[in-house]
Amino acid sequence: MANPDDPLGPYERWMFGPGKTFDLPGLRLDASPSLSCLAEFAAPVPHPVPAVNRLLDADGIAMRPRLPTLWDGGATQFVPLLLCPETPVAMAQHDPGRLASILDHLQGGGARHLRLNFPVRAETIDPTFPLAQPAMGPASGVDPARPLVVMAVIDHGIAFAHQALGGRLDYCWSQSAPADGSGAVLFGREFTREGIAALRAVHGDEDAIYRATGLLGGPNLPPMPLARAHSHGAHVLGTAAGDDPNLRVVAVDLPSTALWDTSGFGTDMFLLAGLHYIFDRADRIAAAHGRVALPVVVNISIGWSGGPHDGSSAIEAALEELIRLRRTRAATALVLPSGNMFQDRLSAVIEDRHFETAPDGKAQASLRWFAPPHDMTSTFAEMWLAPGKDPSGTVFSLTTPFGEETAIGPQAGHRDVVSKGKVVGQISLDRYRGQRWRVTICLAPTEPKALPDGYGAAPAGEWRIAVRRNANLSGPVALRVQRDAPHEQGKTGGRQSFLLDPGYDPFDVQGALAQVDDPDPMVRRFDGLNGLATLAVSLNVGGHVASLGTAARYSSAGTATRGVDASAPTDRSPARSGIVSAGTRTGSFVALQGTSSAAPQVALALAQAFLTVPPPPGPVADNYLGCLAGRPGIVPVPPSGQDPGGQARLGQWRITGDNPG
Amino acid sequence: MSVFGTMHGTHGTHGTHGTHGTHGTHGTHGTHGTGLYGDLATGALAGLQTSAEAILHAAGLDPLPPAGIEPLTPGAPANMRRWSPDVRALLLQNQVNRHVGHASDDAVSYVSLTWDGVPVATLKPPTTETLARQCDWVRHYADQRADRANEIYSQLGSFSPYFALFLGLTDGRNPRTFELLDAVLTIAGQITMLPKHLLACRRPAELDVRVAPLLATPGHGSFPSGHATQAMAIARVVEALILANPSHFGDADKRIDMCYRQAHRIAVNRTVAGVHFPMDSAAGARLGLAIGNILVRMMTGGGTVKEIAPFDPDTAPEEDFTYAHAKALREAAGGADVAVAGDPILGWLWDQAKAEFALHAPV
Repeated sequence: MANPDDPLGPYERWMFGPGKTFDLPGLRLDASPSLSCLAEFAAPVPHPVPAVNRLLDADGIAMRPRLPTLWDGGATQFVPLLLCPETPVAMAQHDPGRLASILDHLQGGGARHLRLNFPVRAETIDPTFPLAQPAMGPASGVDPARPLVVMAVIDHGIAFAHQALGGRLDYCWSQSAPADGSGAVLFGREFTREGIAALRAVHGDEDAIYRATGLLGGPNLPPMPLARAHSHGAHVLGTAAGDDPNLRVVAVDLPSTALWDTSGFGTDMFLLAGLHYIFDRADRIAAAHGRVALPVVVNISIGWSGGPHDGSSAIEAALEELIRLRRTRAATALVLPSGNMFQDRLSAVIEDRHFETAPDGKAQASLRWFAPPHDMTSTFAEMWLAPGKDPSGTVFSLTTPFGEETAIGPQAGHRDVVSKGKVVGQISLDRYRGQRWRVTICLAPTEPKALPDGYGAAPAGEWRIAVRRNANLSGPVALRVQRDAPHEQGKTGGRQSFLLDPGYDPFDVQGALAQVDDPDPMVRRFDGLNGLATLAVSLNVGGHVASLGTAARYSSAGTATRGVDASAPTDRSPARSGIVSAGTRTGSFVALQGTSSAAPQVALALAQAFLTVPPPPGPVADNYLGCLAGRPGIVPVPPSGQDPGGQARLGQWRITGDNPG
Repeated sequence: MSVFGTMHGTHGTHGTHGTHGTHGTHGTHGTHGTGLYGDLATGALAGLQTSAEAILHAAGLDPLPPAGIEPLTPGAPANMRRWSPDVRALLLQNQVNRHVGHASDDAVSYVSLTWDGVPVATLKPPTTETLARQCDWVRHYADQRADRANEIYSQLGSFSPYFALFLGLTDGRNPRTFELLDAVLTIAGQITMLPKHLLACRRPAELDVRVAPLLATPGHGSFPSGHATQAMAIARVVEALILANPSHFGDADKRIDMCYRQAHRIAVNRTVAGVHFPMDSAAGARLGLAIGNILVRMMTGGGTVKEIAPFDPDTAPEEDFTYAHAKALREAAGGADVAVAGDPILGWLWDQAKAEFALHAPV
């Protein structure tokens, strides 16, 4: 029976167990991939980190921890790292047991919480890192008399050679590019302003540049976003970059394979490493122009539906730690999308009033969970107890559509979920980061592409999630289903599961998707904010329909304590979805729908405000939201309760979209 | 190349023998062809006869006097103006067929395109190892099918619009230019058939089930690609047309570059569709350049063209066909000189097309 502080979390136990057959093959890993890891230490550790600079041995597999670029602005508790095999080790050789023992070594070195993310192809690792890079001089066109601000975008499919960037992209880290041996970055490849100009001089056009740098993929390689006419990152960067020479751009291109799993499992290390890189390069830009610490706006148009939703997920805590550290030196903003899950029935809260008394005197509440057929990826859900509550006297159960029940609790641990004699899932109870108690449910695909021995397809249909507890216990239980969107380029074949609540009516009296919550049901529209966006230091951006000024029906909202701060158009009109921005090649355009396209509009507006009046360094209670007041094309939003025209959906400030500037 | 049964295929609705094609029911030679006889409903054709019978009595019964007959000049290229476009196309094809040939050996260790017996371009067949490596590229390119499906489907027939796009052509002003481009398409397409037959290269879908092509695999060999041949031949002729009218386009260099990039893209679209290997396009591009060079010489009073270096796909089995490759072919110095006599029949069409670009033509 695992202890509540098992170094290997439930996601990793699943992903590196049966997930090696279900989900990881889609990543097209090569012969000896490296593992990515987000480590949390009990206290801030200085850099370089002696605690992890040791060769880890586990059953003959030697994994060497390697650190990516770390910003030198101070010691942090959270550290992103790679575990690189010293000798070739195929993905198939890593199993939960071995991984737990590797992570035990890290715990012995002082790490108190570890999170493994997606593996990285060996061809992207640069063994020569780190090597000092020649300093890049000042950029032309910069007005020395005006403020200088950095716009940083972390996304996937960054078209760094797009001509509309006009030489303002100073640094781009393409995390999935084959390494070039320059020692600039630990994995992937860096493209600087001067480097891009040199590539253009040699290769002539964008297609040739991306081809030569390995960003178009090739035979028997994973498909790459820049091979297509449109990508998420090109659209977001096209919106965020603006056109002011004093707005310098830094981009981080996440490996798109890490994003194929929409549960967000894959990305933590890559995001945190990306933020360190951004801060480091922002300092270099400052130095190149004779300045000290520049205001930075970071846009990360990424999110997921799971997590504790109180800022305590490891990646939120890690980002917040680094941002607060940098705010002591210069204004540092983080802009995130609120999410597109408002109608998706992915979140529910089981309140005390939902519990009924069972014949044995216990209190019981349950909810049905629909697992769709033809879902080729694993499916995940979480239950979270309130802060300060523990599972004593409580049992959590999962029942298959055939009526087979698996229970867990009150002791922590992992259990296999069995249906018709085959293992079809896993249910775990642990204390996340030693703080909140969490149940994690992992289901096999309902139509797996392959099956590990002993496993079967999870039956499609209605599952039942139930909580039984002593009658004297109280406190809400939050239920969060992870997003499971199909990734078309990756051909993952994922399909979305969702909650079924007879009290939840998807439609309003006119037959449209309703936008207000009734007080009774467990399933909620509100309180389904992006699970990355519940940290205290972000500005969360919702989306509205430009021609109406009211919330887009999918635009997620939060709670009173942590919700939407601002909004921007994400649809041009009810009939014309999406907003238009750049495709991957200069001169191409595409409409993209979703709060991912709203966040960069707010990020740009904030950057333009910073260029006018740069905020001073220091903590900011409103995360610079007040800087949007009075800016052109931005209007205040009335409070208005759950109204789609009100602050709960649109935040305090709304970019109308009328002002193209 | 054309596909049986589809909209634009040879036997499709708009194809040569299709319902609206040249020889089809509503085509020029069809029962209800265009023009006078085509515009009238079926019953009205009989009306022409009954009206003639009713009123011809007034023209009398005398034998026809020869004095009033004005004959045409036999063999004059200007007579081309009098024939219908499809007849002109046949004549152009015939003039090319008098000179074009193919050379090979019993083992088909090479196939050369020849002009009056002299080789102008040579292809060598691929081994199965090369076929396998090239097939990997076909699977890789499938990722772009969603992006390029519209182009792929519309390029099943004439793809002149894809070049007209960059020349600002209009139906009213450039009928002979359109006719020229389509003639190049037809001539180049026909020339590829014998090399395809001799080299007998199987298609990607036959080799790898995972190719699952976007459209039906055509009924001829894979190597060389007809689309690549046709597209490069058109690009070469268009280049010559642009250069022959220097005052017409202020940005002639960019237009020529766009036309060659478009030709390359048309070729690669076939790989995206899953019906060609990249090496098929590499081979077709060479044939297309050779044919384009020859046609330009024929149309402009004759001269010489350079032999294009032989292409052996086995020298680089894992190589893709990129625009850089196409550009290098364009700019290659070339080998031995091959004489090409000028042809007045082709010259007529060239002069007509060229005249359409004159900005200050006399009224």
